[in-house]
Amino acid sequence: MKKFGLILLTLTALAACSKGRYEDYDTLGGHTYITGGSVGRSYMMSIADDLMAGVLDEMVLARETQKSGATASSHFKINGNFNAPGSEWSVYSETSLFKGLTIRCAEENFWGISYEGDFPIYGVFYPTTFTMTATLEESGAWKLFLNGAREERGGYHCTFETRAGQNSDSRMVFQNTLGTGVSGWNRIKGDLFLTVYKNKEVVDVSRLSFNGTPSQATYTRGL
Amino acid sequence: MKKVFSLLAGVFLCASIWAQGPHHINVYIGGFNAEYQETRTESYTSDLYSMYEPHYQINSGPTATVEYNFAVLPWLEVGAQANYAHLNTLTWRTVNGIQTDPKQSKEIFSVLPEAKFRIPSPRHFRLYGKAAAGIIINAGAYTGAPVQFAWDLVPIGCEWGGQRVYGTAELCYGNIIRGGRIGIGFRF
Repeated sequence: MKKFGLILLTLTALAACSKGRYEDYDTLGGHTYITGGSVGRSYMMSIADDLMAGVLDEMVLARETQKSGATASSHFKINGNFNAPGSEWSVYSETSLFKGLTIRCAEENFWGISYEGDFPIYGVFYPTTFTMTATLEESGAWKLFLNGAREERGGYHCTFETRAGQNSDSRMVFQNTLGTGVSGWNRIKGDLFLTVYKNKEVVDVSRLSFNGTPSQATYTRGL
Repeated sequence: MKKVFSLLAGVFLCASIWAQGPHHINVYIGGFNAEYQETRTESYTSDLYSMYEPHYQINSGPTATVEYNFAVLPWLEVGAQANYAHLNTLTWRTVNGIQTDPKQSKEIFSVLPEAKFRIPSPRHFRLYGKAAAGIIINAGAYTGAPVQFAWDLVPIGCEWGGQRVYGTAELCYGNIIRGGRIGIGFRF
């Protein structure tokens, strides 16, 4: 009987230890728990930051290359004066995330931009296409109109675009260059929309609204 | 957990009454359910699928096993094992943050006819291997077909102690438990 008691005691202790171990997983979940607002906001912020501000950085680099008088570049394939109607510059540097980006000048200070390739949004590469128009204002601010789409795994895809929302203009204004990325383009005004589809059915529409105040944006889901 | 221990204690007490002869009854408590072990390997990627697709966090208690074998030859026993595990799950979508959805629970029962092979070994430390195949019955609100094929393989196990009451431990792999089981046995 002593043996029996000892074995049962051992089994009870074993089970108790095990239960404690899995309560840890209740906390951690075996996943990185991220609050919902944060993860959705970060995804859209990545479109504004990595994609839109990234394209603007390319535009600034192209203008500087033009200003330097260079006719050849290790980064751009140059065809004409960057700000002259009919010119076409494209990114061909292997190290650039924007390899394949094409910038065509439609009229002075107005460009049409297109891209197709694997691009990282929120750090993950998926086939992405987008077109943009970029207008350089006299104040030095850029007005961007964006329309893009992205195919992801598991039947998910999304479209993203700038259009009138909290702000009346369908374009987004980026100004006050302090560096690169949205921290450099720190005065942004306009609305970015994201529509998420699963198997071609809309599952969510969200908006990221910038009001021109540095580092501030309002994220809204379920529109 | 209380249910599991009550069940095991009941079987143990009944078996001890008849404890003589060529029949074997073993009761085990084992590692964690295989379904749980598969699910917890899911990883997070910062894409739409990970954000919008439901994630399941499955918690498993230990698996309880009751086994009966009959010695048809000195080196061969045939019989069956029955297993029970309780799982509960929390479902959430990362884009919604940590969800407050109620936990769903699931009971997993399985019955597997089996063959147990004795390996020549000392009298008080008896080695064996086992192979079992049968069905899993899922009863509960979430994932998994109601009835699934079940298999369990014990490459090595050992019994120690007396001929009538003994301790037993075994390594096992299959879609019931992955890891090991420990228990007590009766011979009658």
